[in-house]
Amino acid sequence: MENIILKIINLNAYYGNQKVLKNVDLEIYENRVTTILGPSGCGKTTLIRCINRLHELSPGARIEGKILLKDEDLYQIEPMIVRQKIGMVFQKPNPFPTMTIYDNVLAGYILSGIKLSKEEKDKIVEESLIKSGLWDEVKENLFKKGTFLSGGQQQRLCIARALAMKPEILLLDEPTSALDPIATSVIEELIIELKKSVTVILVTHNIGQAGRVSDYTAFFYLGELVEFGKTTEMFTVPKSKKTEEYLIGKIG
Amino acid sequence: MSEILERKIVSLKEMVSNLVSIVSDQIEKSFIALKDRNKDLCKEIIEKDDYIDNYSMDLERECLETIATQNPKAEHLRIISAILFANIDLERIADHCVDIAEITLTIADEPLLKPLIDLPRMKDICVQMLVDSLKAFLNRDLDLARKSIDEDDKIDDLNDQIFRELLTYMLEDPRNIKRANALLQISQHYERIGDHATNLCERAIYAYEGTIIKTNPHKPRY
Amino acid sequence: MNEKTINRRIFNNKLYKIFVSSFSFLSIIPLFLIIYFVLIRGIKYINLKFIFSMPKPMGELGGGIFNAIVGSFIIVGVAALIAIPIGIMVGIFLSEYKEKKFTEIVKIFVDTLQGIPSIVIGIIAYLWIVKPLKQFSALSGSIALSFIMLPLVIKSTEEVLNLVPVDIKEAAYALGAPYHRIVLKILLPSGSVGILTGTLIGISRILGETAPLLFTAFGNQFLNLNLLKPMSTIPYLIYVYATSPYKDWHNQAFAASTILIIIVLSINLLGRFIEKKWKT
Repeated sequence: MENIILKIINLNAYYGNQKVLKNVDLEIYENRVTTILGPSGCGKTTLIRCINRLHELSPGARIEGKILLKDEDLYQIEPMIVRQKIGMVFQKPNPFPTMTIYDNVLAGYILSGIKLSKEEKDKIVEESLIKSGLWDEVKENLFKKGTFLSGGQQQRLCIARALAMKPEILLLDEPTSALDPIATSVIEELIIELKKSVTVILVTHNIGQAGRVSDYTAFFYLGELVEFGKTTEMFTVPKSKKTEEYLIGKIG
Repeated sequence: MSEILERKIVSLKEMVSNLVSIVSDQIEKSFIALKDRNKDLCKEIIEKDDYIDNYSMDLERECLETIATQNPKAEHLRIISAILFANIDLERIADHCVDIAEITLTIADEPLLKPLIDLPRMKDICVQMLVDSLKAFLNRDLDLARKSIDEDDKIDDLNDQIFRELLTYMLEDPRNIKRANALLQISQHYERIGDHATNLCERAIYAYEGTIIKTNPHKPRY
Repeated sequence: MNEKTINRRIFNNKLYKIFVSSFSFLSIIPLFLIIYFVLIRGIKYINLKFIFSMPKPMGELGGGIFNAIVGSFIIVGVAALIAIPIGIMVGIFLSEYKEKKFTEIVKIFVDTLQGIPSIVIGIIAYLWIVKPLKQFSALSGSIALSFIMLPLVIKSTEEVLNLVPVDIKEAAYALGAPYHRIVLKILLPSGSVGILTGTLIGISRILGETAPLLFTAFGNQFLNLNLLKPMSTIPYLIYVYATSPYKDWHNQAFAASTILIIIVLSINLLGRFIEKKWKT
């Protein structure tokens, strides 16, 4: 039985006068991995940036429509609170270069001015790094700056940083496109493990990755939601011709 | 990445094992129904076939979904391919069992024409081949698979023997023709089941060696 | 390609390299000459007494420049205290709001300010502060110097903040951080080295500025720590002594110049050292 955790209702997103998302209606299920799939420029990154309200930071950006997190309208509450409930990991790993690994994991708390006791901090750091599969590799070096880590490790650090805030939803924007194949498969395994504790929305144009890790897939093309369904069904018997063309490589 | 795939393959192997056990059960039952002239058992066999068809379709769908989403290569791909083809043969074997049951229904009201000696031998070899092909597939035992393929010759020989024997019965008394013909057809169904079981062994070898050995399915009869 | 062409190219290559090296060398020569010229004449008069004692009345031999050294530090220090916070904030503004029209206007103002001759800044400070207060003061000198230092701090802050990758800022936003925290905890630390070197360059620049001090801090024979009264500074002292008729004062001017050069050189070297150390 699937629970709906996020409802996107008639979303239209604009950069100035250019409409980049058209009439998107989408429901995301709790504790599942949902992939937003589509060719470059189809609006998938814009979509998740609307969910955590990063979209509005761009000049001339605005939206119409509603996004509800468990019946709470995300555009009626403080953006900062939205971003604390919904974490994001970016395409290029971006740990804060002036902070130690320890502080990087806690960065969300440090930057929001939330004070924690030493025990609480240690606990959060350890839990988050274990959840992102990085603990064993860095537990001896927590107070070094994160720049010596490999690309894959840096990305897992960014995942730990996002998880530390105990978000309800984790947005992953093409998290492995800057990584080598082994680091990629480590993170793909991690994503499947993570869905037990958090809802994952993954943006990718990599059909293989979508197939391997996701439970549900939403296929976007030119700013519109073309099809949404279980990944296994969509990849064997897609309902829309556009989806079929994308999957077999005819378009995109 | 291959962990997800490995788990899926384990689950597919479980499904095909279940299917083999259900189908071999049908083969056993088909003989018992004939021997005991049990019309109720015949009906049971026929009804069970719907379940088998659905299970077979589920297995096919799961195989395709695994290929579509997990991108299996090399041995992983061959194993799934072997399961897909085995699925077809198993479904056909189940259909033959239904045919045997239906034929049995037509002669169940009359006493057996003769004591059944060769037919149970054929049936036993069929079931053994089925079980061995699965064992060979699950345990990577290619020698077992090859040995099992050879057993099919015995089935063919028994089929010829039954044909010659039943021919004499039919020539002796025209009133025997109906029952003899029925037994003849049943024998041919078991012979077909043997051929399908041979396919299963060939697929098991293919999964691990990557080559298909095509054995000669029939020895010329005429 | 035949051998003749290759040889010609190798020769041309060598020729260009010689040109570039010799012109670079030539450009350093004036600096060396100046330092040498001043050092030769000034270094023999530098001793602890010179640094730590007060000037003698006009005409008398001897004395030191202690009040000028202290004065320079105080005036430059106050100027830095004014210029650094304002400069950093303006630098942040210019870096963060690149698209706004207002930013363009501010940039033009900053560039213009940088181009105003220091003597004009001195005159302005005279009109705005000295005249209303009816006296010369160290404070007016600091304010004038801060105008000169300001564009340097603004520019280096803006440049170094522009170098902070966009995705670092986005990562901070995505964690739900309020803007002022992002600036304090992420932007400024990332840019701290550049801002520091900009500050040091600004300080070494205004240490040597004389013209604005002519109308503002003026000078003082005595040691003065009161910001609202005139204060002596090294450049001003050099100006007064060098244009005086006393030979002893000429020598002291050279000595003071040497001290000033040493201070400025040290600050610049410190800046380079910090930059190198933080780069690793």
